Amino acid sequence: MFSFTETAKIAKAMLLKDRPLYVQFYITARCNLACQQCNIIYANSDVREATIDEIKGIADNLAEIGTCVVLLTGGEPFARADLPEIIRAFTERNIHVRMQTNGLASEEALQAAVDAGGHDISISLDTLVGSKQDYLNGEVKNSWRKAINTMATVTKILPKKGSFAALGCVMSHRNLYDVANVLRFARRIGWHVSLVPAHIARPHDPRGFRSYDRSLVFPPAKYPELEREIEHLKQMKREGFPLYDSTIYLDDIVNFIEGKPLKWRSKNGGVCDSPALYFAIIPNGDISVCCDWRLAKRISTFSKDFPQHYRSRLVHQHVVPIAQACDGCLYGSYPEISTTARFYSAMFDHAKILLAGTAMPKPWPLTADDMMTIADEIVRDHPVPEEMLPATTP
Amino acid sequence: MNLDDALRYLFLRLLRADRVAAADAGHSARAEALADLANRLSFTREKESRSYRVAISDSTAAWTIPETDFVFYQRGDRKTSAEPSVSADDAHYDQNLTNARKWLEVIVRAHES
Repeated sequence: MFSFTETAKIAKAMLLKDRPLYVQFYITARCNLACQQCNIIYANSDVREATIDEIKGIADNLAEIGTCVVLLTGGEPFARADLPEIIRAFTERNIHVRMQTNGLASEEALQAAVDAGGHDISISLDTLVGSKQDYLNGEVKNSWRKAINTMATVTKILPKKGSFAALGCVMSHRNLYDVANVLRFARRIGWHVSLVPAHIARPHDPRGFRSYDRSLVFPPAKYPELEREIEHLKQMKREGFPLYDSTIYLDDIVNFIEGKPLKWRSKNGGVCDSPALYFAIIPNGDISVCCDWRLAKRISTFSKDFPQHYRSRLVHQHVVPIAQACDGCLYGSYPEISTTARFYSAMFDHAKILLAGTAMPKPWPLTADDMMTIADEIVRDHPVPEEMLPATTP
Repeated sequence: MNLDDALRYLFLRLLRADRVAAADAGHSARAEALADLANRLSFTREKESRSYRVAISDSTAAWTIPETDFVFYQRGDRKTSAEPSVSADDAHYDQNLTNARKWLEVIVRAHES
């Protein structure tokens, strides 16, 4: 997935912890879905979108401070017509681009993104049951089917070598038993899976990304089922299923949902590594601690002064107190980068996954019909128990 | 995208900042009152009158806020949201904050009285 130069950059960032290994750039708040577990489209809708010239300034600055990977996310990044130009702004400056999408992009848009150098893509998929995914996506009919079509398109246009395709799976009690099937599906189609538990906030303590939908809160009575299912997923991973997440992270999913202390922050005094190893950028180009927390003071990442402010740790002075006051998250990338940088077991876990990933068979291209057949076979062989869905479920 | 959800987040974010400031200053009763208010506020967009209705549950208190007080960069429903309204300046960001503050003062005062 990463070139030799990129791998060396990442290793240096891990070792020195003085440059952002990973930056999440929320390039738009616009989205054509309204997923139950997502609040970021509302949280970021009060700021304008940075122009392409400003984004080139951001890319200059991120390159100058040694950024290794930028995640282009949203909202739905493909809602921006200038996405290929945005991708090129980063790839031309030797920053690896990962694209995160809901899977509703057109083939033309995907092709343009790939041509611009976007060879690393993550598509949201929470279940192999189409009606359930449509419901989770905010009752958008046929959105699951469209995402499957997009995955097929990706297997057609993404180069087999040096590319990375993953399914981003958000887990709640509603799809607890669907995750294993998503993992089976991923293995059959030559993709990886990255798991994130649904994050829920209370209105008096709002966070950028977290939903207020209390019906998504995991019922304590189901904790034993959760623990068993996470053990099952860990076992599947040991058997070679392409689950990207480290064992520490998977254990922390249980800790997070059950309100127990998180292991991934334990080696840094209970604080995450923002902004030393990662941070986020909101659509107008301002830096933020992460997807949940903005700074009290606005600091633009396209400002000419930004690299100096980052290196002199002025940025850190604004970010760290907020990170210190946070009770923690489990938003996939942030914990995984911290654990990889701070725990040898996670470092080996990820090295193994990346090495296995390059050897993993990619039976590409696949058609949408191929994918539907695979999904049908998996659901038939591994039926998912009826989950708790409201009566409005289609 | 529901614009009432966008307004809700903006208000809740400011209320949280006030609550934390009150708690840090040792005003725990005020902090609790602000938390209670945040948990009871409801937001509804009324498309016909081009306004938002903000109400406090278990109370008759409610306010009608003109849509024009706020600009959210997420136009229309999910079908039309690919048509952006992107301004090249940050004036709307400040306008949103100023107007949210103005309305929150009114709401908090009513809740405290």
